Amino acid sequence: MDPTDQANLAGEGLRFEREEEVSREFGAYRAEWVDERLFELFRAPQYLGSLMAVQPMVLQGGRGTGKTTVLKGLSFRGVHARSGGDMDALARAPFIGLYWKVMMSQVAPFHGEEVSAERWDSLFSHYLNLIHCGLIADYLVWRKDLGVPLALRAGAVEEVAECLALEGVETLDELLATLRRAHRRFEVYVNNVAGEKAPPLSMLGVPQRVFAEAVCAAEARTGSRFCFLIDEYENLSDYQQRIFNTLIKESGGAIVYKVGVREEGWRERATLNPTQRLEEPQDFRRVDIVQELGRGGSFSRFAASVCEGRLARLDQPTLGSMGELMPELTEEAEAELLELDKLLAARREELLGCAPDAAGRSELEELAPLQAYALLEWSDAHKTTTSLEEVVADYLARPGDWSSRFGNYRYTLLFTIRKGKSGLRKYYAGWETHCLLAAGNIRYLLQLVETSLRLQLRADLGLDRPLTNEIQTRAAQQVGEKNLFELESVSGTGNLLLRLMLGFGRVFGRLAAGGSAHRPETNQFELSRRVPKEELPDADQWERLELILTDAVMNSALIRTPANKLQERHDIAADLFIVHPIFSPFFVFSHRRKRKMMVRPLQVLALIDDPSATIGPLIDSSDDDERAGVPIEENLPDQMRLFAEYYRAT
Amino acid sequence: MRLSEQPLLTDFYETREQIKLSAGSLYVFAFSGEERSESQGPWLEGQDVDQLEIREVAKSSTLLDIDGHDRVPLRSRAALQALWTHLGVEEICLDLTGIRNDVWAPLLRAALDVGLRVKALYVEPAEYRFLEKPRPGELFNLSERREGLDQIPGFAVLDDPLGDGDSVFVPLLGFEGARASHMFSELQPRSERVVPIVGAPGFRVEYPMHTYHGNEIFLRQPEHHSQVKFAIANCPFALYHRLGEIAEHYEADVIRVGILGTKPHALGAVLYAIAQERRPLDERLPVALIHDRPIVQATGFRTMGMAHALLYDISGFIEEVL
Repeated sequence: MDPTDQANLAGEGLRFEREEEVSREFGAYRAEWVDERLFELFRAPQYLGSLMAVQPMVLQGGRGTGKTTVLKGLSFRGVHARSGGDMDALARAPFIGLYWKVMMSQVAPFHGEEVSAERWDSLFSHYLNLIHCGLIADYLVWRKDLGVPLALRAGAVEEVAECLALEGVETLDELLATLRRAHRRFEVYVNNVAGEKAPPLSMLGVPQRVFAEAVCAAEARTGSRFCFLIDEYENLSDYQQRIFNTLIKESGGAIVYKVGVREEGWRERATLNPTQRLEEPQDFRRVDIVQELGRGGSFSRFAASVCEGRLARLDQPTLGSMGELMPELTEEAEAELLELDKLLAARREELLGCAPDAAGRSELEELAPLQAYALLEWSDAHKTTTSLEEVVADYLARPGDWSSRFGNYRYTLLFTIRKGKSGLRKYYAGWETHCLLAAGNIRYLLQLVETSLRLQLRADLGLDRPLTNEIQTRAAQQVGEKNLFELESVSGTGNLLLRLMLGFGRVFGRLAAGGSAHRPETNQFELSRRVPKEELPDADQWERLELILTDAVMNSALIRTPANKLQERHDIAADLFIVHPIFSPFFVFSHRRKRKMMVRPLQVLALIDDPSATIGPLIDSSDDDERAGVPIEENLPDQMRLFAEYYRAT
Repeated sequence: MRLSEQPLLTDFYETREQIKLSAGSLYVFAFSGEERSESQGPWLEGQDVDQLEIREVAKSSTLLDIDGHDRVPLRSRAALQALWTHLGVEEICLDLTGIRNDVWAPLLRAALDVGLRVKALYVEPAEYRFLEKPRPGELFNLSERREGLDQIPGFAVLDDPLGDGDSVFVPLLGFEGARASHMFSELQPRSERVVPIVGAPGFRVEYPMHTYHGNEIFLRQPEHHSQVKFAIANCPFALYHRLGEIAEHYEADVIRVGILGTKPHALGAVLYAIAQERRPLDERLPVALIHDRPIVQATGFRTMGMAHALLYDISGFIEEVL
């Protein structure tokens, strides 16, 4: 083989290996994917300390915000692994964490018309008791396997068995074996719930309380308790949440709960006692992950520690810090990358020729590039009402007003420099910028970093130099696209969710490209209350709208800012919604939380059902003369060309 | 036994009209709205068979309205066995074409329980509906949304903290990739324990490609595409044996099958679960049959026309494997 070919092959092989290594370290970003390494890679978020409090807590966050990782980290296996196998660490922990994930397919069988609702309450309560006792038993088995078994006091095993109506149990081993048989027997019953006689059922909460007290009494440390770490609480149906709420309400002593749930996923506050509800802060404390991480740059620091820990494990030269690897891009530098200088060079005389005199010309010549462009862009965007001479004259007469306008529109202008052109039309680069794109979602952040690193390697550039701005931007586009398509899979309304995002994404993208023709950085919406009677949604339409918007929030497609922070459930009629920033590079609009537009409720549904007829009027309603009449499917950014057919009017 | 003497478990017909059911047997069917599920037509005329239509299924899919009988609960093995016994037949032909998976599965098991000779019929569609405005990864207009994950009634496997060791997730892939991705994102199995199954050869030569295209996003997940296995799309027995190989190879303590693909594959998975039930307790592998209850498109139907018809000798197969 030719030596050059050999060298090329060797180089490709090395690059492939390095990409594989990056994928291994950064690509496995689901807690479920990294079982063995989960605790090696674990980085404590700053709110972890607050979770160690011995009180019921609700940990709220969307997919990818780190709930599962944190809850698993609090489990006895997690504490043991993170301490390198130190049993003393477990003894020092404020509780013994028992992790259980609620899977929808597991709890769905507890529904049906064959038995009454009250009967389902009893059956599901018994199932929960079996689960709780099984988790405690699993802990005992684990201890025994490690050679540090616990000896329960005399009679404890029989008491637990009695609570579960299990017979012939005297020893712990017999209890464990009988628990498994009881579980299988119950499973057979649920599969024949319409025809069989139920096995004896236990009272909600009782068996595990007896079991937990007995085990904690046997622990060397006084004051031991169990903490049930319940993940994906949203998968419980409403009646099941009421039952579990009852357990939380009545917890204490040897048992405490910490629950992981997505926003909008905790639908019920009631318990089985109609006069009692779970109340905050008396009964539980809520920790909102995104809010906690959003305090004073916390997410940026936390995410940096997660990423730098993984970078350090790479067997290839890398820069040490995320700030060095992904340096920020100033607006001026970005304007240069977008070739603003070429645009200005082509229109320089046009601008300078508008000066009334030599002094005015001199003033124009001293303008920074973005400021000079701002005048041109303003004139272009408002050409039906004002000329460039008038704009220049206004600037020269009122420089203070224009200074304020420059500040408002500065970032917006970047979206217009290359509008309609192929190639990148906007850059999304810099560590802080990518943290803003992720908006508190560590999974998104890891995807952004992993994709950027792989693209850098693929371009034959090492990781021992900053990632290029283009690579970071292309990575952001790819991650946005990937998560957009994944929306279809994350919920039952997935297809509708995707269509909703395609609609709003296009609207905000077109508004951004319109520059100063619109209010700057419009990327949020609120449902308009000023709706003609004939355009008010009927009951079915409201229900459908509520379902889709709730799903969108639950699955991190939209971020909701409640109108009233104290309300338990969101009020779609009053709340503010922002398209998750992770999608902004794909659709090319601002990722910063700025301004909103009002949208009629039926327009939201129409965006899903008839996008080609709805997107245009929504954009036109922003007084965009230039956009009127331009088909929606035209001037799409390169990464969106595949959707041209979708947006085309039928 | 020589190959030529081994029983053929699948009879293949170019059209349904060529099928001759056993005299005196009972033909059980439901009309789903699709042309291929219509029972009317010349093919049953002149045949000495009785017909039993499953008319209505309660929303929760746990109660059946069967023509001329009281509502029958799907989650009562005894009631389903009694239904078959009461009908006084010796052989049934269960037409799976128009009956939902979560309905025929418990019916099939109960029929085997009481010793009926069971055959299953499946009619392939001539074609599936393409989307008017196709998008990357979505070519077909098959379902609007999903009601959420559940297990086939009567076959549920419940979580056991003491029992669940290593599970393996086996999604039987259809054309709609969002469904596989949804199931994966809900169950969250470890990727190295995910074994997707593609129906290949497919009903038509290009269908395996549609499966890959439709499931592109799911298959791009780490390791999924490299772990794909194949089973003939219209053969339940091929799928059955494939599940056995997977369970053995991965040394699974529980196998979770995603019922997303063809009806014959669903049949194979149900037969596998039934066979496991009949094994001694210490040899039994729990088989969770998970479906997502898709809501089909309100406008028009998923498929058009009829293609080949296949008649499966279920009893013969069960006798062979057990």
